[in-house]
Amino acid sequence: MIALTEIGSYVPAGRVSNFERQSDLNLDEAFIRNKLGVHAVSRMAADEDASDLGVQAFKRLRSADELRLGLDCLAVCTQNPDGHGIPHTSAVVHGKLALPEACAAFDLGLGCSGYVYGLAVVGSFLQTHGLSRGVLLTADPYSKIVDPNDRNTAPLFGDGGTATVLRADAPSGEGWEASAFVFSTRGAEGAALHNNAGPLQMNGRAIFNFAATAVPQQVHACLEKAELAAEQVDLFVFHQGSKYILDTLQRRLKLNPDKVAVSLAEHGNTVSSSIPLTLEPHLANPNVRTVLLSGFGVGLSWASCVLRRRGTSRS
Amino acid sequence: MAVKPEDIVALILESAPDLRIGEGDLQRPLADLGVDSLDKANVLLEVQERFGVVVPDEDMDSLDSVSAIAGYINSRSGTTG
Repeated sequence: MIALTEIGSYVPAGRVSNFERQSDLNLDEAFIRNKLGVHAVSRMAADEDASDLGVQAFKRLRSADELRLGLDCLAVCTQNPDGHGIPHTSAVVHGKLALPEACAAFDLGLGCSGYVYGLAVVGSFLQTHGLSRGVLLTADPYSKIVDPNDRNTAPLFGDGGTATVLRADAPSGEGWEASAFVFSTRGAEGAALHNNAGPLQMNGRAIFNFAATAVPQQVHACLEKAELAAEQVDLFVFHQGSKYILDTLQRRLKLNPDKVAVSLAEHGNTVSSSIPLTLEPHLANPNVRTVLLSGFGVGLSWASCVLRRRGTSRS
Repeated sequence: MAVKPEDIVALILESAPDLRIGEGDLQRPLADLGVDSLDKANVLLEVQERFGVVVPDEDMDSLDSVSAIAGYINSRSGTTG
């Protein structure tokens, strides 16, 4: 079986405070704190690009040196690739990290559902082709397409990158296994979040209605597929769209608020990086053995799965 | 059965229990009651799910009070208050 063994993350140091931009964006402090839940959005430096977010996240892996010598598969999930998109960002990362030639490298063009998709794609790729080590990078700097004066998007989206290690050669009982994947797409409503004219445009109400209705249905389907009751899940890691979306999902799914992970305040919604950034600090918590992941957004696209800590069984 | 303004107040308080909305507030602008754009989107989603009345985006701005929302639902569902 393929095991998720480690997550590395990189959030660039640049910040734009939403409190300092209250008057520019016509926001009040209570709305920033209680509804957006984002105090500041992270911004990469002028000399950084998507590949740098991925490279920095990769370098923060404990196993980085070992993987650089023997990586079989590198996937980069991004919708804002380096430059104009050619060559693909995974190839740019491959070059910057001086990875072996015998390493597959490809991009995944997905937004907020991309992490769950990426786990499925890389895990399946390794398994199907008899490969041992893969890394899924998420690196989607939406700052490249956000209009800084758009109050719908500018105070929400932040830059960040993550690296998730998937291995077929992990020692028995180590790491996490992903299962019970459920995928959905509603392309006919893709206009709710797009950048057809250049800058990102979001119909906040449409996205809210989608998230509040479609995601709970998929979460129930995922739980059923995993043969789990919601109470048996130790942690729910949803895409960090906004605090209001997270609160709405918690309320509609009738979840214990303590089981819904939140990590928005200091960097914002980092698109496909938001789930792994939120998940990473919990991987070492021995009380967390079963986690449900659910990503949703651009597409419209949404995907959910369950992670189970290996070497544990639940009665 | 006609929807009453009190039904809309109950919907608002489900997701924003800290708000205080009294009888004298039913025709006041929602923003003055502390109901922001996200709360309003949530209330209109609940309206859609519970009463089967879909509010198109172009009607959003006109529904700026509790009474206006209740009246809109009743006019679309063929009931009167």
